[in-house]
Amino acid sequence: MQRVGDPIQLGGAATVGKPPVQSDQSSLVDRVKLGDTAAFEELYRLHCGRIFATCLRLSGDRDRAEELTQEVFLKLWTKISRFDGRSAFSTWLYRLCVNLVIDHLRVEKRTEHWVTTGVELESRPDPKTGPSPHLTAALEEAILRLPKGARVSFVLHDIEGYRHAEIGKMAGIAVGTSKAQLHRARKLLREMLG
Amino acid sequence: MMNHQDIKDRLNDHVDGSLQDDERDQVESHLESCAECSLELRQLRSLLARAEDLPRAIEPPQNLWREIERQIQPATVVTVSPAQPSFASRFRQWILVGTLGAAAAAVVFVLTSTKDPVGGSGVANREASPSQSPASSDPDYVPSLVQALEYQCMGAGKQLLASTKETESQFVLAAATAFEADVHQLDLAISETRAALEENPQDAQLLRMLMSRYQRKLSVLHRATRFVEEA
Repeated sequence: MQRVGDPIQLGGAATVGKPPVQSDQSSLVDRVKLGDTAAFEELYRLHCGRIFATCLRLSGDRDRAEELTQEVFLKLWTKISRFDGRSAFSTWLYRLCVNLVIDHLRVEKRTEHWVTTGVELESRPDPKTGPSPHLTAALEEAILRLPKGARVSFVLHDIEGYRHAEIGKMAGIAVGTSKAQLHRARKLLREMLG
Repeated sequence: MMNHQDIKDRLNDHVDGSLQDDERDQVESHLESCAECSLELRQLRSLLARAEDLPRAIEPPQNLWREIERQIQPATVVTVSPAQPSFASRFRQWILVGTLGAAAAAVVFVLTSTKDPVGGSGVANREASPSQSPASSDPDYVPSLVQALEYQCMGAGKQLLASTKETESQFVLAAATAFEADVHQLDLAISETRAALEENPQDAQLLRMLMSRYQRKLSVLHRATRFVEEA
């Protein structure tokens, strides 16, 4: 399983670049810290696909994922001076992304439960916001239909490779809750996928 | 000794490799003779294999870079004609106010914070100890939520602007304009609170007030959008 911070395998999109070697990326990061917007655009090209995929799978909404992707990079622009190189830049960036999305989901908690206990699935697909041809894979669509809490645990554990202790810390839930949500997600996905 | 249901309940832990040795031995022994559990285990492994095969990256459907680039450039002031500014131009200004506000808030809090932005800070820690001052022990918590609200306001403003573009009804536009006064007042209140926070960045009450005002602004923008779209 891919673990957080592993070398990224970027999709085949034309605007998404090849995985950079660490030294090249360090140089880019250093230039961005000095306010170099061209270097920032390079960083964006290198990571936007992975960030968008994470935002989409966590939020379960395509339009929302676009907004969140923008916000991740705007936050990166203001916070990058604090990256001290103790971890891989990609690890740091993806954690920043996950924290931001989870914060948003928690802000939305006022109108819907962050960790739902019901079994109702998200209603999908909406003709305006439903998956595009890029997301025709049945599993991708099924993930978007999961209830929020189950979706977050599945995406973070089974796709992004975080451990339950990390998920619990980021999402503000107990480790046992994270495990329960993951098991529920897997059960629902198996049912949806037949 | 575990029974069938005990084993079933541990199949997820089994595929995750998180069982103790003795539990794992019992599960594997049970699997040799239980078709139902064996089938469930195969389905679980198949699901995880499919999850692992998902693409790590998905290309964003639009070129988001242009909007990001616009927002990281030094802000330019939107000139609004004092004679009769259009509804759309005023909303563009609100969105810009949100952008500038986000940048200002970031500056204020970056100056007051030394903690790594991704290292364990977050709402979870904050809610676990509500009696603490939000500003004193977890400086990233509030900026993160404030920025989240800022960006939500920006998104709501854009959505309202898009909705108004789709209508030519002067009645609807006039009615929607009535929401402007509310938003304007809230923007003034937000600016005042932000200025006070620059003076007293550790003041938890001011931070709560700022967040409350953003939430009210967001609520007004959502109501206006619903009105325009339903009219």
